[in-house]
Formats: sequence, C-alpha cells, structure tokens
Amino acid sequence: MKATISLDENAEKELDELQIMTKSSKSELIRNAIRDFYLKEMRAKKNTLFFLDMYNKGVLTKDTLFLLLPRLDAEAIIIGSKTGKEAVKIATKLGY
Amino acid sequence: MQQNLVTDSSSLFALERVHLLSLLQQIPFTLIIPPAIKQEIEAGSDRKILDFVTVQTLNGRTLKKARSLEYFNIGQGEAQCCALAFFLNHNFIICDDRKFIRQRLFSNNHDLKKIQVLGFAFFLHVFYREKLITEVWKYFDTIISTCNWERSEVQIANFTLLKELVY
Repeated sequence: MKATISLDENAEKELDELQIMTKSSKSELIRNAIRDFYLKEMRAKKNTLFFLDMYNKGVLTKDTLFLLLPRLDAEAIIIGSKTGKEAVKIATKLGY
Repeated sequence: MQQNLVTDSSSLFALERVHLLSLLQQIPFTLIIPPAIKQEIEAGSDRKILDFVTVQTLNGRTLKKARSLEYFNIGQGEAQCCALAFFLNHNFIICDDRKFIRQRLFSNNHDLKKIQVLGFAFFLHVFYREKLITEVWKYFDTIISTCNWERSEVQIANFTLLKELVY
C-alpha cells in the first residue's frame, strides 16, 4: 500500500535524523514504528491483567512495563496497583 | 453497628449497571453523599439511586475545604466527597473516577495525598461476604465492560483489590 503522510516540523526532523542514524529508508522506519505501536497495543489489549499480575509479583519492573506497553496502560497498571493495594488495607480496617 | 461510607456517583452508577443497588440496604454501611454528588445523580439516568443514600450538606470549614480542593482542579463531586470524609474522620472515599485516581497520586496537595480510594469492588466483596451474591467476577466483568473501564486505573485498582482479598 502506498500512503501519503503529513508530518509536523519536529517529526520530519526526527525522521531525517533517524534515517541518518539507522541508515534505513523512511518507509522502513515508519513501518517499524507502526509495528512497534501495534505490538504494544495488542499486548495491552489482550494481556493487561497478565502484565498486572507479573508487576504485582515483582517479575516486571515499572521500566519494563513502559517498554512493553503503551504509556497510558503502563501508568494505569502502576497507579491502579498502588490504589488497589491501599484499598485492601482500608477494607481490612472496616472488618472485611 | 452501621458504619458511614462517603461515596462518589461513579461507584453507585457501576452498581446500578448490574442491578445490585438494592443490596446496599442489606449491608452494615450507611452511604453518605455530598450535595454535588446528589446533583450528578439527579442529572443522570437513574434517580432511584437516591433511595439508597443519605445526603449530607456541607457547612463552614467543610465547604471551605471542598472549595480549596476544587482549586487544585479536582471535580466538585470528588472535592466534596473528600471534605465530607475528613469531616467524618475518615481517610478514604468510595470512588471509581479515573481522573481523580490519577490526580490524587500526582498531586502535591497534602489533603489529597491523605485520601485513599476504594472502588466498586469493595461493595462486591461485602455482598459476597454477606452471602448476598454467589460470585464476584461475573459482576466485575460486566461493570468494567459496560462502564468502558477496560485498561484503566479503575479496572486495575478493583482487580487488585479482589485478587488481594483472595478471589
């Protein structure tokens, strides 16, 4: 598929720099970016609770979450996990 | 003895989605909401939620505290819930508002940092312990999908609560 894309000034500059650094074509760089984005989205969509479990067990660190998942999903796991664990203490105090 | 729980509208709407509101009358808690939450419920689709809660007006210092939290960009409902919780000597509220959960963690406000959050899963847990429902995950999944809370802090926090409580 051929596509025309619009880039702002920053993205254009970064793409140019990436092309020089990696010695790849712009098309290949964009294909790789889409692939990375797709994989992160699919991981989050299908396995969020698995990643949460691994994070809660200490198998995955915060940094690893950010590497494997989209930023918002990684943040959701870190914030939600902390909030949920605090909630357990309150539930216990309330006699439940 | 009945204990008081300050509750945001988000958690009540969640219970309404799975038709569990009526069970609130059978648990040893009185749900208290501030006027802003009453307005949110009245503006929503189901006013019968008000049959299961007690509205408490805010006066003097409590109202001032709520307004000071609103100054930090906290929603009026959540701000009033926090102020009411402090008034009742609680350090927590029941809330499933994603924005508030994030704001609480990232805020530098001392009062906001003191407040902790329980979600709708706490009610599911209480209903289960009181033998009013026979399982929790069916309701959990329905609430998460009907409220569009997949992949959010709300889903993770409530899931963690239930898992830690050995479900």
